[in-house]
Amino acid sequence: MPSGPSDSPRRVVDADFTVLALDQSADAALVVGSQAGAEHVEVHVTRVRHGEIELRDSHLEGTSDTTVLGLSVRVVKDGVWGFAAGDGVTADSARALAERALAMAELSRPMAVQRVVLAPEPGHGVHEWVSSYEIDPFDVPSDERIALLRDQSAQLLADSRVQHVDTAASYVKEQKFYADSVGTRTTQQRLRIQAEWEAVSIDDFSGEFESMRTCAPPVGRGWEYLHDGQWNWSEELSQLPELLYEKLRAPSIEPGRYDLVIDPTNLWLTIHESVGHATELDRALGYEANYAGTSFATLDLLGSLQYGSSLMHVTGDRVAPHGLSTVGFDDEGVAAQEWDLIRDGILVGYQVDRATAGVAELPRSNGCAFADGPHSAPIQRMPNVSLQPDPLGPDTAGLIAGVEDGIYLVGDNSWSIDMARYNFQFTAQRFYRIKSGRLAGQVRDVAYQSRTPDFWRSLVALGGPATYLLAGANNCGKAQPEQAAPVSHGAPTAVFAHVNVLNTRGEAGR
Amino acid sequence: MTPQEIVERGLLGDTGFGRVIICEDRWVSNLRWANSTLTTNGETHSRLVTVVAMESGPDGVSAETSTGLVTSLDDVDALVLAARTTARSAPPADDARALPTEPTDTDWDEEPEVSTSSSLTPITASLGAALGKSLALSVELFGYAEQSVESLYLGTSAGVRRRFVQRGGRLEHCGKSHGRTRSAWAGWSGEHLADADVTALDDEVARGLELQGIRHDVTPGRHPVVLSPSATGDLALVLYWNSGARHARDGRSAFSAPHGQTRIGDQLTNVPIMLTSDPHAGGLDCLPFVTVASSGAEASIFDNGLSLQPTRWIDNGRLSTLMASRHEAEQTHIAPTPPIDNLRVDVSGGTGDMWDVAAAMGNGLLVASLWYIRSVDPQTMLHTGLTRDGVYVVSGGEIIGATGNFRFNESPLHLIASIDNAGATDRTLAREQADYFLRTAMPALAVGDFNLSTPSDAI
Repeated sequence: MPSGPSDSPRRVVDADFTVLALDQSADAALVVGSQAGAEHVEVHVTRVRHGEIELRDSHLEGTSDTTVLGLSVRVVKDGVWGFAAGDGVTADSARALAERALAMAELSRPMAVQRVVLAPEPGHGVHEWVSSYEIDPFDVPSDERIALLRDQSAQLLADSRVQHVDTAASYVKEQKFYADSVGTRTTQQRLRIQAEWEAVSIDDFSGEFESMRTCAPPVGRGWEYLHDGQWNWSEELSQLPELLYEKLRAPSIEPGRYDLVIDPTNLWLTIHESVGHATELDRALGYEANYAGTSFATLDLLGSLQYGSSLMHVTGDRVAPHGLSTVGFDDEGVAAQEWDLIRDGILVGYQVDRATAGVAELPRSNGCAFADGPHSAPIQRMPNVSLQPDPLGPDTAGLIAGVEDGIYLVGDNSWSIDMARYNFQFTAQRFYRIKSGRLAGQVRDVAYQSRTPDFWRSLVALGGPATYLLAGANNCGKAQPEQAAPVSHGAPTAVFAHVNVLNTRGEAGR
Repeated sequence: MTPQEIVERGLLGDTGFGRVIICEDRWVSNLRWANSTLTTNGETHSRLVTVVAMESGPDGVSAETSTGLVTSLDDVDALVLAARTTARSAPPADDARALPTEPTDTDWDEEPEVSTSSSLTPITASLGAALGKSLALSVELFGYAEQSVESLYLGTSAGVRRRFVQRGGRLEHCGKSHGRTRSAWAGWSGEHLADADVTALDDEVARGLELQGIRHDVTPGRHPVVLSPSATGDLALVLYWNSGARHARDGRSAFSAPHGQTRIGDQLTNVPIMLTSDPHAGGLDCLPFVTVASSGAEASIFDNGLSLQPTRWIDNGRLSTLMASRHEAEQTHIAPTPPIDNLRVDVSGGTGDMWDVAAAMGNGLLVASLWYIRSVDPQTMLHTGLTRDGVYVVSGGEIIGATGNFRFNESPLHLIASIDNAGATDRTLAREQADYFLRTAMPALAVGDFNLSTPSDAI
């Protein structure tokens, strides 16, 4: 089998996946679709294995190991979608599902006013792609996995300033086979992992409590992520009790406008919500208007919308090493790409799949189709969306030094944004006052609230490449039925001027 | 291979300290539309088998859960072996105890229900007509319809054999008009999608769009507000999900009291409000027994098969109990009250629908639905979120137009303490949480000072 644009040339897709009746199922469904006169037929076999470990106060609370496997067929017949999915991976089940997908297209015809037109994508032949990782978490004995998490939890709990510790780790192996009616057949495998510790401190006298969790992001790596030095777990965990203790006793913020220095451990989520989702073309077209929402960045503004300050350069990609959205090919057989979404502060691109590219009459999809499991239809999902650093920018200390009166925010926490991606409100794990260019201790009860274009136009400084971090989330929700997608966001530390800061106690009327 | 055969195979031979086999057979059919045309659809069928193995060891009882696709009885054996092997090397479980015993359900031997895309057929004609009509009226329609049927079988080594079929129908319908400067929404949920009245929902959306013809400027701040039943539902569910006994006992919840105590027994409000769950509540029927794949703060794998009892969470404004597994109930010294998949809010004396409650309010705002609700501060249960698809201005008891959307910062605890008036309770679709919680019955609530913190440009 020829190799595609592999992220990990040393590995191949697991044999217990490739041994399934992949080609036989694909051939059977493609024949049914072709004989029925469908304009487009695609066949997916997906297996997702998901492991979870949860501990409470260093005691094992629950572990699970879940594997879902299934086959789906999607057709376009007379300009109408039809999708059907089931469990069996056999030629017979593939034929039956192809018939069900055609029946679904027929049933839907009375409601299909607008015909589906897919942007062209050439057949790519046969490809295999595997993400870059060292250790498959499912190859690590369960007791070793639990012991690693438990030991760190016990260390945290041993500190008298910490009353409770919640620990969670999850790891996913995703295997996908795709075949379509223009001759693309891809087999892909990728891993992702996330681990976090949250410490809780309680003031017995007042009854007040605060929590703080680790900022380590989920990544497209294997079990090695928890011990190979890619993230300095021991340093972060050792600092947590003191930081939490200080947070519980920190003064409450005075609401008003502040200059914000936002760490990439926090800024990734703001990018996700206010840029990532806002530059999805299906939202801009209204496809999510009943559910996840629309976007203020509508298609008529492409090339002219002053999204942010001229410092703003945001890219979309499905190729970043260890990115959660990184693949060889998307779930419509489109090869992975990288492109600009915002350049010099101007909206210049969208995330698209083949159908939305067709609506916008774009020459080609940029490969953003994704289905989160064997029973989900591919839809346009987010690639890795990242804010590029200033190549000559300073480190975080240098950015803080340039702020007279502000707040430095670290780690994501509460988040919410409106249906058009305008009004947002975020909090953080830690907030430090900045006075005369220096950190002046933690404050608490901070939420920053803004309107997306106002916020990004207030971007006044970017950190350099040394401040850049690829963070992200495993659980981005969208679509009905809802699907959860993993996605990464890179960002440097950045400075925003005069942002509205709320006091959350005040908001609660306390 | 039937679900019953799968369960019995999984319970064959030595079952260690205990074993649970869960077989979930699920059908889902759906249609989605946007810009007045179909966008996606689907018919899916899946069957997943979960094995919870509990093994005795020198330090106690340990457990592991393995879930997967089963295409043969050998696959069941493989799942059992995987779960047992891992369980034996795991640390002991704090919540370990003997599995409950319950009588076998009388319908245990029945087959799973099948629900194909034909379940959508009853609405296709009326939906097609609504989409066609909208084009003529320059209205764009967006929405989603779904029928799901899940046949669940649960067997345990303690002899429990339980079966339940959960049917869920859901329809959401959103309309935008006048260049997308107006937006209204209507939602429905029930057992069978065939019972949804698309025309009535379409009329409700049209009424909302019509009422938005006159725009009024309203400054952010605390306002008298009527929450629609859908909005009430979303905030009631926030309260429900934050009602775990363990976090309260830990001292890390709004229901915590000093020295490891909880606020159970506290009078949260003088309003005669009831927050209740009952798996056998008429029209809200839901899974009547515990089904847990992995233990957590509110649920324990060792409770699998336990019958769920009608539960009053808030009784005439008093915090009556908190969510607790049998293990947590022992720690907190309360009766076991595991989570139940339905929720009902009643306010004594409440009458009328949201329009009636708005009319009685006199002056204020009527909020049609809420969105993107997230926790801000667990100490106060403060949550933020957005109003969505209709904030109507009420003056002298009349709807005189609409204003823009707002971000709110509000706590459900403050909310229930500030209720001025309430409508009658009826089944509703809590919009934000409908993906996870379909069965709610809620009234419209009038509250005195809802915190509409900042304006939103979203429509």
